[in-house]
Amino acid sequence: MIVIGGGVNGVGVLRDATLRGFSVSLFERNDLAFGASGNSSGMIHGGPRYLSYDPDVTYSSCLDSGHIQRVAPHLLFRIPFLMPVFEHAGVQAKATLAAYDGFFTLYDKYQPLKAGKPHARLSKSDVQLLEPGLVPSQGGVSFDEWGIDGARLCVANARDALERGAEVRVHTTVLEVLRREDGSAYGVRYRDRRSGEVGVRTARLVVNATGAWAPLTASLGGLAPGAARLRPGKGIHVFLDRRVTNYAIATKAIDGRQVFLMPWQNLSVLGTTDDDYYGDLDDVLATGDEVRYLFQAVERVFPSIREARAIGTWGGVRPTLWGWGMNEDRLSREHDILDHAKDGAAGLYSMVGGKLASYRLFSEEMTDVIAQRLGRGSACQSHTLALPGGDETVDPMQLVLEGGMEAVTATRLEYRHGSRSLRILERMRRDPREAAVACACEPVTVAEIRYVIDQELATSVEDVSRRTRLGLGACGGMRCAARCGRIVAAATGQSPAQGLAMAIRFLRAAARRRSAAIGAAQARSEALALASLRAELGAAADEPEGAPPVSGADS
Amino acid sequence: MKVLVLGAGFAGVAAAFAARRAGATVTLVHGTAGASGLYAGSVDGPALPEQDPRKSALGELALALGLRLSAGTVLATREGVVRTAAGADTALLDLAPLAGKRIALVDVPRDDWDAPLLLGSFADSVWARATGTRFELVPLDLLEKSSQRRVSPFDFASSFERAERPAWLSAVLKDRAGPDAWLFGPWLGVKRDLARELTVAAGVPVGEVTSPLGGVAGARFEARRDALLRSLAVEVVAARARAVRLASSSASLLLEDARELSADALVLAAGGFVSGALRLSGALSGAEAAGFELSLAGLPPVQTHGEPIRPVSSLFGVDLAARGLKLLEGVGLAASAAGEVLGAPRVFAAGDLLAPQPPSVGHALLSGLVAGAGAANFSS
Repeated sequence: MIVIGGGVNGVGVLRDATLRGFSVSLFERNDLAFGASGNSSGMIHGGPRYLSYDPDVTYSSCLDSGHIQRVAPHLLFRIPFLMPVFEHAGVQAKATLAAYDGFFTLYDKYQPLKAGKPHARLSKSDVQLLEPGLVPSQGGVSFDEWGIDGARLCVANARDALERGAEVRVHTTVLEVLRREDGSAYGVRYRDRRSGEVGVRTARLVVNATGAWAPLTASLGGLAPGAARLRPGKGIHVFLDRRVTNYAIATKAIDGRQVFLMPWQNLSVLGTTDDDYYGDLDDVLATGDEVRYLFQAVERVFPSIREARAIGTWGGVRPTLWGWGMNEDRLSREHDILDHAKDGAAGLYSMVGGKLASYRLFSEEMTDVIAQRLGRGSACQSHTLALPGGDETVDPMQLVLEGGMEAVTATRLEYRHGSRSLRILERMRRDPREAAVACACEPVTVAEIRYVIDQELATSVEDVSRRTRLGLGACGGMRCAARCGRIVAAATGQSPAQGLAMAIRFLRAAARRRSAAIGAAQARSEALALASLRAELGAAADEPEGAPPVSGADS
Repeated sequence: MKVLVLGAGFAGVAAAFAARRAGATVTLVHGTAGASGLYAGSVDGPALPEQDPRKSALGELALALGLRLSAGTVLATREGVVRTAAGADTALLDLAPLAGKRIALVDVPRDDWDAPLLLGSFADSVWARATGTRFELVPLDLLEKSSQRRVSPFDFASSFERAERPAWLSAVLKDRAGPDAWLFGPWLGVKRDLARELTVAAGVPVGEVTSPLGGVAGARFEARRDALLRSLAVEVVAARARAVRLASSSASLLLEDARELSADALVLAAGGFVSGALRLSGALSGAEAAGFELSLAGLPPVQTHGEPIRPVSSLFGVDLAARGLKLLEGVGLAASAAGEVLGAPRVFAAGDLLAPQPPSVGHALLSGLVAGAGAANFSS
């Protein structure tokens, strides 16, 4: 079978179907986790929002969060949430607090499914003690969720499938879904965007798992635009140079929507927006308006956010299910499998909707359909077999002692790779110079860069960054992009000049993404960074700004 | 004639130098390190024609600051680029005279120094291929202890200034005769001119690549600048300025500690509009009603890319996503060719504050000389 799309649902089906004994090829036109999967809020949450009207969804979300935790324990990190009550006072605040308390008492029943801790009702002074930067509240509740690096999750799924014999082609765009005279799908015609190679791969089934691109992909099979209809919703996040709170703080934006300020990996993240999106899916950019909307909401309860240094933004497009006549927030986050036999294209399926937290379940459902249709395949194992790196725990101190790494470097490495960090350690043993830290902000070692090129399909600075978070810290890649470019170029048979050009593309794209979020503090650094880059890179750094070439043009 | 100079980067020190040469008494006020103290060691920007009358002043100033000005300078950067420049810190290796020769690239296992990859990058450069210049890797055992793999380039450079190290390093280079020049990382001393000492010892040019932000080139500039200001008898006041005040016969700076310094003329050379002299406010703040705020009160027209700036009709300030990051460098004061700020008699501006395209050390030096001379000769 063929899977189109290297987001979390695509690689989820790829892995599940491979585990069940199917032969699978995956095609991704950009990189793994290029879209919503790598640009989400980075949470595997238990779905408390469904509790009041559909508790079964909460149950299955929590259950699956527990499954993901068991197969990839290294990738999950606890995010304690704080939901303070700011509005009103006296009896009304007490009533709101009691309602929160009651609500999260119900949610507590599901927490054991995902090793979550029970909620706590907090007094005014508790809240102030936990987060002194908050304006005085009327009290609040805390509850427990899990964070995850969505890009790492995608890479781990793809890597596992690769090791079990699947084929994964990144930067390869599907030109056409091939159909027989009777309309049934039998394969794809593709084009490798790097080499220009065009080819055909045949299969019994084709799964369209392209998220927000789903309607576009369906049209490559000659289906009508409405056949895999979605209502894409853009969501952006702003990230700060450090963790400014211990708890994720949930609050309301000016329009009453829930937004948050959340500690996430080394950063703090403000999120998120939800707006109908009509733009280019390959080039989703946060705008100044969206950034200001989020800052305005957080500033009201956490005033010092104005002094914080915003170093970047990311934007993604949710593949929300189609609905007319309602506001974005009301749209369903559910998912659905479309069998295009109803459109005359037997053997072609589209996965529509879904969210990061439910990817495994969605993939299992899709693979069940496939197994049923093909009349074979073993039972699903994607919730019992560990993902690469998730099989055993590694003590970061071992990496410190044996690899000569600093503790923070070792901890971050172990987070991203779990037990596979031992393979990276092995590289350092063979060549101690690979222990050098190339990206000091994250930090990322040379060994890890080389490992993700060798083992995880990275072929550019941006690919490396997606897998390691290289260049996504406070310096914006200023100190590591060119070096990473040289390493990628040397490892992939390109010239140093091509490596430099790759680095400049990365730096320019990063500058473009962060320009929407630059405040006074970052502006001062920005002017210095421009001067430094000009000195280091010469004239190449001064090419005109502007949008990258239209990425669709080459397909 | 009394002249006040605000800022001690390349522009400020050039202004103080020119004003002293014109016979003025000079007081220089500066707060914290700026772009000059963080520079890479390369001089870029406009080149002066041979017959330009400012040439001799510029030459003298450059010498005092340890700069070698030459339009055909070729530098190697930390990022593996070989590029041309209008000059450089004398500790940087000028590759131009080494075209076609054999250059030893020092290999030290430091985290920030991937010599084998740099070698490939230098050798692959257009310049090296066009001139047939060869680079070769020479491992030198420069680490005294393994922790030096990760100390900052600045601290690593300082380690070579300890009593016995320069002589040891000289001996090492003498023993390794062969290459036509030695290219080091940015480590050749902060206070001592180690590059020159080693050049003498080795008998061939020894120098550095460019410095990272906050590396040794900026530190060397600051040391030489301080010595120059002392020799010029410029009074230096370490303080931050809060406001400029203009009176009918004087200009003054109001300092953060509430002192007020007055003079016949004032040179503003405190760095780029955004990064130093004047404050960008409100890009993300809801409470302030303007885009660019003048933190030095009473100053007239601000321009972007040569056009007068218009007030931003947004409660949230300038939208950089819509206007592009280059805007940050393009904002500056409008001034006459003599550096006099339009609409503000007795006030001169120099350096990045004038928003040259793009900001450069060369422009800072020249505009500083112009503004300093203008201020010293000011008459209402």
